[in-house]
Amino acid sequence: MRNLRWAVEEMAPLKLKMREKPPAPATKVLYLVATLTPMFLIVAVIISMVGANPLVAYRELFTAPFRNIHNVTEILVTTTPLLLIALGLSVSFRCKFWNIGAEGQLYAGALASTATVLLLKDSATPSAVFIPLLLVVGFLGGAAWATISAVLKIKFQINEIITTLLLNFIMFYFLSFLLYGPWMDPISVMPQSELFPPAARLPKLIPETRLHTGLFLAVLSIPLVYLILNKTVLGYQIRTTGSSLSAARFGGINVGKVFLLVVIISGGLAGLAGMGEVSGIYYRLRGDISPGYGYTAILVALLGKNHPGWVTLVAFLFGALLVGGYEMQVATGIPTALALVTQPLIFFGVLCAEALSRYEVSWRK
Amino acid sequence: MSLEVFLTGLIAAGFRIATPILLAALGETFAERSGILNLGIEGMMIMSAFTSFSVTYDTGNPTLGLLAGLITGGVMAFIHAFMSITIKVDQIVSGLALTILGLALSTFLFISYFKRTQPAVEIWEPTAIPVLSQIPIIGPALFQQHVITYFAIILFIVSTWFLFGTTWGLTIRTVGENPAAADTVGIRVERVRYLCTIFGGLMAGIAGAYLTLVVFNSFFGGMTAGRGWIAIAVVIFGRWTPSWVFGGALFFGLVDSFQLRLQASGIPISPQFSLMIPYLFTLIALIIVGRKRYAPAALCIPYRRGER
Repeated sequence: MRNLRWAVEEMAPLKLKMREKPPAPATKVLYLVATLTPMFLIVAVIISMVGANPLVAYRELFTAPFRNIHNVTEILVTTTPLLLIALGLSVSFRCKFWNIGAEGQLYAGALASTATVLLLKDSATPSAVFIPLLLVVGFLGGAAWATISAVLKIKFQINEIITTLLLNFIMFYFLSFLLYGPWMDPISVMPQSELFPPAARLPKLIPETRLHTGLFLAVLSIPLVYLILNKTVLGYQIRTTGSSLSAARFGGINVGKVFLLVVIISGGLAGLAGMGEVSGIYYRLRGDISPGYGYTAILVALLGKNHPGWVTLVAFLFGALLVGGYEMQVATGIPTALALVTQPLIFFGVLCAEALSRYEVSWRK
Repeated sequence: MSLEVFLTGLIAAGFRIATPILLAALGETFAERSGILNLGIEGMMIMSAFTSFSVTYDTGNPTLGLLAGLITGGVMAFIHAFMSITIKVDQIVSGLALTILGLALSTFLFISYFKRTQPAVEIWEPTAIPVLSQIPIIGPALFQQHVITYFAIILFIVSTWFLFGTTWGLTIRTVGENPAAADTVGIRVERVRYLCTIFGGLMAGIAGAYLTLVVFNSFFGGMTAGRGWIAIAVVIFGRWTPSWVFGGALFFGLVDSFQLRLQASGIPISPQFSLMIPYLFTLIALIIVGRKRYAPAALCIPYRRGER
């Protein structure tokens, strides 16, 4: 037992002391460099482990997204859902409602939009009616799916982390039921719905690319979320609930209502992201419209400190990383999943840098 | 099919499926009892599943594979412990990031090493316990399981005794309920939390190894399919006590086992709905049992000396 104790003490040889005042911005940048460098070295080791050249991989990963106009439009294509979801999640995380089911909510929005399209496909509904209708339905689909978790938390005090995540799996199976069953496209024998009529498609921003007008929704959400968080009564309630649940209750805030509203916002924006994918890119519902946007967006919201401005920046950078991962796979054969490995490692690096600027660290004597 | 055959199969498969959930949930119980919520379980399980698979594939030795899974779980838990105990990052944040990392890294390494092939390892055969395995129904259901399943059942009994019958158990519970009080009587709070978190990681590691070596004999991206999350749910409706956790894991195992039998029985139910059943039942179980609060008081709260 004594040896065991000693071993653990050796494993945690650091001593932390709260800093009196925060360090200068330049020092913070230095900390960031000091913690991110080892992370990128780790990724380099992983790349060499699978028998590839890290320098070539890194060149592709970081420069390919900006190599030409087409790739830049691809960054915006991936940024659109990431930004929509992460903005919503930042509202939810601000009041410490841990909605981690954005992936399922994205599919719920996509599913609701597709249901509407399948219902109205022969009705000759004009685009000017169809698109706004799909936007509303997509938002409501995501919001409704997320509301289940909010209700379970408010009525039964059940931890939302578990319920939002379990609902992801339930949504996944429900979706594959539809795509292998009643919604399967009769023309292709793939698990996908039939093609949307042109009136149900979001217009392209630039022809010959995948960039669609859904980008406007994401951009529009930035000031909207900022205003909600900082300039409204709801925003005040969200921030109060987040900093202290008991203080919020004591101050007369209806915490349940706050949870319900943030879930509607975050689920709704995720649903909108799903609508954008089916109606702006694929023109049909598929099981693979999201390469885990719902999970990546969690990191985006947290890295962006739940602040709309920073969230936008991180969403763009992570979007670029995803495009870089794809280009890297084409050029070097290294699987695109490397981008997904890099993201959480960057995240851990930033967490360590923050700890360095919060505490004075010394070796335990 | 006779009732006896049905029941035997149901219970046997129930225990087989419950094993990884039980292991991960027991480990998580220790971590949470000491005040550390580890949401990285899913990531640890799948990473361990991958390392144990590739080591077994290369060496042909499942024991080495199990060891690799164990080490992987321990190392990942150490990362979580460092983040949440030493540098006091939000435990939810650190755990989530670890899960995202584990899912991505295992998929990346698997595709890189094995390209698009679907390699398999030899199945690690169960061990029948002499005499006991001859009892009708219970014998084949309970005593012809894999060594790891026996280990999980023994672990649940031992951890009940350990948590509630020893000073060490009391120490762990005190640290999770009132770290400041523990500190004043000379308990090293951070040390206890490190140990419990790493123990949780080791158990998640065995759970991951069990999935590749005993259940699937193979690896594929996302193969844990939320089992780590279900383990965390089991801890909640298991009220942070090993005996309830055992009941919860077994309940999940039996539901999943029933669901598999339902699909095979030829009853016209779409397989996707059948696969949904375990997740739905976990939700329902949480609604029924999980509503009262039994969580350790200091769960998720980093300990800083001199702060209250």
